[in-house]
Amino acid sequence: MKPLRCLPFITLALCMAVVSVSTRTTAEQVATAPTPTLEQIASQLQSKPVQQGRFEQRKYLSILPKPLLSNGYFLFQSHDQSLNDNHRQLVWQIESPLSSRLTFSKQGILQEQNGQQQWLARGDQPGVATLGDVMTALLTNDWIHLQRYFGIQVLPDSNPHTWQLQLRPREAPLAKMIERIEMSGDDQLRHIILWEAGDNRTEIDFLPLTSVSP
Amino acid sequence: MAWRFALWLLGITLCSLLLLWQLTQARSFDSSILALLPDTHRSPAEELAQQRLIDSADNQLLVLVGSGDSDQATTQSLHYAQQLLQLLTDSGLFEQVQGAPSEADTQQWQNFYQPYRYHLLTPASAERLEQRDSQLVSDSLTRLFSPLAAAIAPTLVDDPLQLFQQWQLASLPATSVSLQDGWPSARDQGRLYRLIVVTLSDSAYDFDYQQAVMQQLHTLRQQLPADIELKTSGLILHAAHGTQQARQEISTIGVGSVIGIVLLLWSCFGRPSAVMLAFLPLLSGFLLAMAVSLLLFERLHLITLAFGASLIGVAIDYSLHYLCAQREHPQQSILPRILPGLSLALLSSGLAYAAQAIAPFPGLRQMAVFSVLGLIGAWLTVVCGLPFLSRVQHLRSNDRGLAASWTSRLERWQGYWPNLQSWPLKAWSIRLTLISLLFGLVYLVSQQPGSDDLRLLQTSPQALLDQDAQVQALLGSPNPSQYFLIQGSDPEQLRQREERLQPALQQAMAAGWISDYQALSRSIPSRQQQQRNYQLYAQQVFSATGLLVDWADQAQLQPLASEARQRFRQTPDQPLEFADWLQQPVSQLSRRLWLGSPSSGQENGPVFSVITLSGVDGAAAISRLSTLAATDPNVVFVDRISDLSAVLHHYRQQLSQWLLLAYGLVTVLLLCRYGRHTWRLLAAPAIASLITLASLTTLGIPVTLFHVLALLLVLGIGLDTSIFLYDSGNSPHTWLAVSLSALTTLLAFGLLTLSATPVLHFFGQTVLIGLIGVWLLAPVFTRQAPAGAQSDSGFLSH
Repeated sequence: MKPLRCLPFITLALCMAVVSVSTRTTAEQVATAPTPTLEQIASQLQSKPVQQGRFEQRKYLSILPKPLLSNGYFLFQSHDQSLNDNHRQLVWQIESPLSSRLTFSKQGILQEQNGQQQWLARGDQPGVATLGDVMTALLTNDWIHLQRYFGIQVLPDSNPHTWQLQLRPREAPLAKMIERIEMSGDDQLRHIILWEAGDNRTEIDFLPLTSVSP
Repeated sequence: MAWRFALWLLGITLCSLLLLWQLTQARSFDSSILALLPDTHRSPAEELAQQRLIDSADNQLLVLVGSGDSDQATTQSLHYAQQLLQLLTDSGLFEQVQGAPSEADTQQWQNFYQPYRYHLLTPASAERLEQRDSQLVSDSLTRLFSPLAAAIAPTLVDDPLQLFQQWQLASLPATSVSLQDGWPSARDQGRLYRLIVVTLSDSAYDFDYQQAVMQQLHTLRQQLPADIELKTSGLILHAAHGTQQARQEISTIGVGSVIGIVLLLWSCFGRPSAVMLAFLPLLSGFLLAMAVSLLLFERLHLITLAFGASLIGVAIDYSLHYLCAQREHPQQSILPRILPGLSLALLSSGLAYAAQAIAPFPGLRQMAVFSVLGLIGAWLTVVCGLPFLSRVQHLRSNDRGLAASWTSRLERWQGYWPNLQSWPLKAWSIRLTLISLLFGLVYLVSQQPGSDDLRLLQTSPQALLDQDAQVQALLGSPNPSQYFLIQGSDPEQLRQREERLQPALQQAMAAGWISDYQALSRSIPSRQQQQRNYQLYAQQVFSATGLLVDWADQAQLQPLASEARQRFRQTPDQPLEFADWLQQPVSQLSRRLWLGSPSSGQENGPVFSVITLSGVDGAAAISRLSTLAATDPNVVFVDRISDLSAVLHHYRQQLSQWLLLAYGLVTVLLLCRYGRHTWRLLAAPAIASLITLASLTTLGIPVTLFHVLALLLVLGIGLDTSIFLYDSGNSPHTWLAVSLSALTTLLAFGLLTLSATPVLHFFGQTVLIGLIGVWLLAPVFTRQAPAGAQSDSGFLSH
């Protein structure tokens, strides 16, 4: 496993982001414990970059009484040694209730099942591909990318070791699918809630890796 | 004489007035090579397709504001894109300046198709349903359990297997343009481009408008910082470049040759009046040609105009002969003496020019008309104007020495110059050398590969073309030169035929021959296919044993499944009708693919559509695509580029044959007057032409149609020279006139070699080599003594 190298330009972009974020949160800082800046959260996450892990997903659909449960593992793969963002892809392996593998990359989203490959969305087509792009960015803590799509706000958190972020889409097409995203964690991303259109939501918990069989 | 002059004066005045009036209309020149090429082999449907694909884009200008991909750079480029949009709008030059497309469009699109979702399937989905592929279920569930579910969850009841969503994705034209910060943008190789679409408010060919737009773009470019680039694409840029190039070349090559000629005549005649008289036929010829051509043609091609420069050399011949003859016989009326020669010369060069008109090339026809008019104008001036003018002005008869010194100098040179008559031709060694030289030439000419590549004729600079290509590739624009044309008796049959072609196109996409294709049937399948799709849904998905049962079982989604079934039953089996679709705004994107009936009067005539292709991958892909059409007689693969190349090839061959025929005709014509001496007149242009072709081969320059056309000019002008020289028995005065006219022609025409316009360059190249050859060779073959004074002893008589 290669460690996720720190991308130097992240800091630059964060400096800009932090200006807007911190002004908005000053009032709330008084009441609770000091809220960390996005920069602090980012550097906290960078100290232990995640290359792989397990996930448990609960999908709440307004039409169904019970959530759809699924779990599996995810990992990042590199096409080449450069670890360039453009060449990295995210593998999302669902193990239960059925076995299926999705690969998110710049080229689009590729589905593999029973040895068959199929494009779910191509990078040159808007829509679903955007969502794949967002997911990859969420899991890689690619703040530059995320800020392109979302306005990011740091929420106050009583525990000094944990943090909470709220992301709201900038563009209408994405906003039609995702109302907002909540992320929380400590030195790692632990929990994501996607608040979707039509009173649906997806909760994903990230757990340390126990066993991976790629 | 006086009444002839009065008539001539009247004609000239009329022409001047006409021209003045026309020039106030401020029209620009045509510079597109396509305008030069024939409109043959095009069916009315193809004509219509061409109009939709190319001409509709003619009044558009695409502007891309490019920057780096960092957060800071993209914010900056957004700022400049907004600023540009404002400035372009404020300039008042454009009908419409558009940045962001309205978000409502996509929503509208989805809402329109929603009621017809059970009738719409991609060919791949239909095939899988046909086979009852259980993979469809697991694919759908995978998406549902994946992080992508947000995109599909809201439509689960309407579209449980996401087959409608897949159809939507396939039907929307693939483009790399997406909204970034609310602006249509595209990424390419680490750069971000913001798109602005500008609609012109006037013709791209209108001179004043062109200048205003170019000025505006130039100003905008200056205001942008260095790291923000501006990429533009549109016909108006090419048109403006053509205009600018024409102006520049007229002011360099044109003025250069006029100055050269004036200096030459000045040094020879030494009198302004003579120079003026020599120029007068030229000016009036040009005046006549210009005035009448503008009357006959909607727009003059820049190449016609530059080609008109060649008239200088030919028309000046007439006045030179008049002046030289007058010098020789100052006291006589010399017109009757030279009239037959002049008229024969007009006939022969007029024929040479007019021969261009037999090729069905609109541009060449224009040139032919222009040239013949110019020659007639010059001839009329010499015949009607010069006798009167030269008498009024009364040339002081005696040479002031300048011309005399030229004449004697040329005479001396003539003495050194080889002539076949004075050579011991009987010597075998010399004969052998000459014959092997000739064979060498013929061999070289036979090695000439020739070329019909359309790109050779491209008038726009490579940088402009590259930018065009880059912008088109970035926007995924369909290729305007290669497409399929489909015919059917009605829209239904038409779309069924398209659907039969689609599997092959899907394979072509998978093989990478094309990146995408756009077809009517992708936006609205045939009624037959829609009904088939509906049946597939009913039988394979929503029936009691359908795929939806497995789907619900595998993930405990029974409530969802039963609701989806109910939704299906509630939706009427009503396919989307073509006529309804055509009326709706959603069809706007695909409407240009529908050509309808090209002959508008007919109600029951065949209807047509086009399937356009994006990202066609080179010549190999094109030839493969063309084989796809071979299976169905109602499908035609149109390849404009290769069609045009084939046309060029056809006419190059035909004109080569015509050139040989012209030599034959001229031979017959000359035989009547010169008998067995005819070869003396033909040898110079023929051998000069061989030398020209051989030199081009040696230099590695492929011969094009336009080289061959120029060889017709070499024949015409070369014959002039030979006739004048022969008729005067190689007299020093004629030699002077011939040399002067050769030099002026070279100055006028040969300078075209320097032109950046390929067609003019080819003409110039050929005429330059050819006429130098004629000038040097003609004295070799002509008779030494005055006509009839010497016994004939020629090459052939031995």
